[in-house]
Amino acid sequence: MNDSSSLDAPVTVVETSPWRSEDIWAIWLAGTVLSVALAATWLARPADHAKRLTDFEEIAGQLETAESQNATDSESLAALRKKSEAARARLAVNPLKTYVAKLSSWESDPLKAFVDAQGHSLLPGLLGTLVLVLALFSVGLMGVGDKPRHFALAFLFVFLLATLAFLLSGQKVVKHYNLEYALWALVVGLIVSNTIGTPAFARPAIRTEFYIKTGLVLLGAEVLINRLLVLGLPGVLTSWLVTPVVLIGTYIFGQRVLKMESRSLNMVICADMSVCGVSAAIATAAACRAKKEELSLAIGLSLAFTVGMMVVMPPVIQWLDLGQVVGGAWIGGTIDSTGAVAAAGGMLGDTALAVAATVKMIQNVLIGFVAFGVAIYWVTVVERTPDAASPSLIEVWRRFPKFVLGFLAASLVFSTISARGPEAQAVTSAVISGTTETLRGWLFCLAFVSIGLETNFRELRQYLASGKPLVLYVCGQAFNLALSLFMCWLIFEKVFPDVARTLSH
Amino acid sequence: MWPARFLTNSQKGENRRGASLLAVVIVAMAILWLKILPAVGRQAAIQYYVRHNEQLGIDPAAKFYTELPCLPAAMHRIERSLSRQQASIREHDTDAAIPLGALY
Repeated sequence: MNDSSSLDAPVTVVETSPWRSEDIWAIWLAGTVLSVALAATWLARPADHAKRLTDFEEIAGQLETAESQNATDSESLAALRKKSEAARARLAVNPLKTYVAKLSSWESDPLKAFVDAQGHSLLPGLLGTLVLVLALFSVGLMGVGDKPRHFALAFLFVFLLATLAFLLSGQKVVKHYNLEYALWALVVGLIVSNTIGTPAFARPAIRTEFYIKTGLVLLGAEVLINRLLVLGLPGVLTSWLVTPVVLIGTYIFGQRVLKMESRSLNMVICADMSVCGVSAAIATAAACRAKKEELSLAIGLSLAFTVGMMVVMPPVIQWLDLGQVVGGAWIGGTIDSTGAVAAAGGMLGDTALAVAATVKMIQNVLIGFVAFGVAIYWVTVVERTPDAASPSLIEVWRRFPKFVLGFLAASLVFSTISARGPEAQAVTSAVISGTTETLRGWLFCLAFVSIGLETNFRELRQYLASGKPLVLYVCGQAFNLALSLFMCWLIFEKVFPDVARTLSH
Repeated sequence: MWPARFLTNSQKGENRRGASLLAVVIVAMAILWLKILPAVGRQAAIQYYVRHNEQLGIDPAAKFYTELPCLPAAMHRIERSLSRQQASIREHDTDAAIPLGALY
């Protein structure tokens, strides 16, 4: 991302040793975490893992039989499903799980956020997270040629603000209306920077891009490509046809009709709205080197509209009598945030929840391809000077944001491992849920706090003044809603009606 | 914010204003989060909605599918439904002109 104060300033690539770039060190740091967590979880498989695998396969077989016989006893079917999931979870245990933690949700007593569901204190895990991230980035800063001498104190300050952001977002009403931590991290940072000013001692830890790039490589491990085909061809058509059409169409609309001054802002808003919300915005912003303020604005727009859509779409679907499958697929393809998709789908019913969450999952997997495509487009087209020849491959390689390769590599490795069977799948799930997902969340939170600490309200106002970002988002989302609805209806009502009927049972 | 001895009078004034503004914001947020939001959360409709999400394993704040507790079960249910359907189509496909199983 850029710090340039003028919009669309030409990007200057500073010549540094490639081995000292943040991109490479983001890959190293995230790669270390992923490797250690994967090795530890694999080696810590229970001694009786072969027996547990047999037990799981037996229960899965019983469940398959019960479902194929259309068992009418829904209670025993639900109990069997729960037993199957529990047996799957027992296949692998992540021994590093207790060393990292995130805050719990709370209702009226914020101290409950520091205690898990079983009543155990989360402070050891929080301390573990602090120490781990501090150690990782101390090494990372040395690697990029910075002196981390004052980093520890600065990091402690930024980490405390990130903890406050998680605390604010963990209040149940806030959480269940999708006002997620990214928003509060920005707000907390903005409050500090626009009241008392960002303290000078905190500046060494304001490393937005480094946190984001490392977090994105960790996110790559969660992008399991084999999930693409869960919903079969209908799922691929619903997610993969509509998303690129909306992304590219809205981008062209923003450039040609609205004449947006900033291409990167245009692209981040389009990705945010058409793919999957905040995580897509983060990945795209890093890939096209968007300014921090542009990322903040895109996320603010997305969150504002997501809450509205989450509340409005379920009754609209019921009024239109779309049914749970078409309705769920429509929700999954349009509402930006994954959590809000599940909440909206859940309001319609179990089938809608399953379909909506699965469609959104398929869109989540698109993030890697979108980030890669945007990076290539930016390097070969946008950053090219008008009268220059096409950039050579070496030039493309030099300018290409390397962290995207780390992201894709993590995805490829974890997808390959996950595809090897239920035990391998359990190992990758344990690594993701026990370590990488938590760390990734902290890194993004630290990044958004850093953005807030470096942003002045006046800088944000200039983007809102013209109203174009808002118009872009509204028009793009309207296009997304219309095209998604048409495709979902076509696919599940006309082309694959049997799929819809099967899923409804 | 710099220590006062390094500042001019107008900078000191700015510091005091900044600190006052921060204090006001902190108090406002404390009231909102400790009093108003919990009161909103005690409304029957909100409690029902929150309980409903928790029972279904929905985390509305999830940014990515891996953060959704309900997803593994949902995904496996869909996989099982579709594989049963494919098996049933293949059984009937032997005489069909266009094997529908090929679509999946």
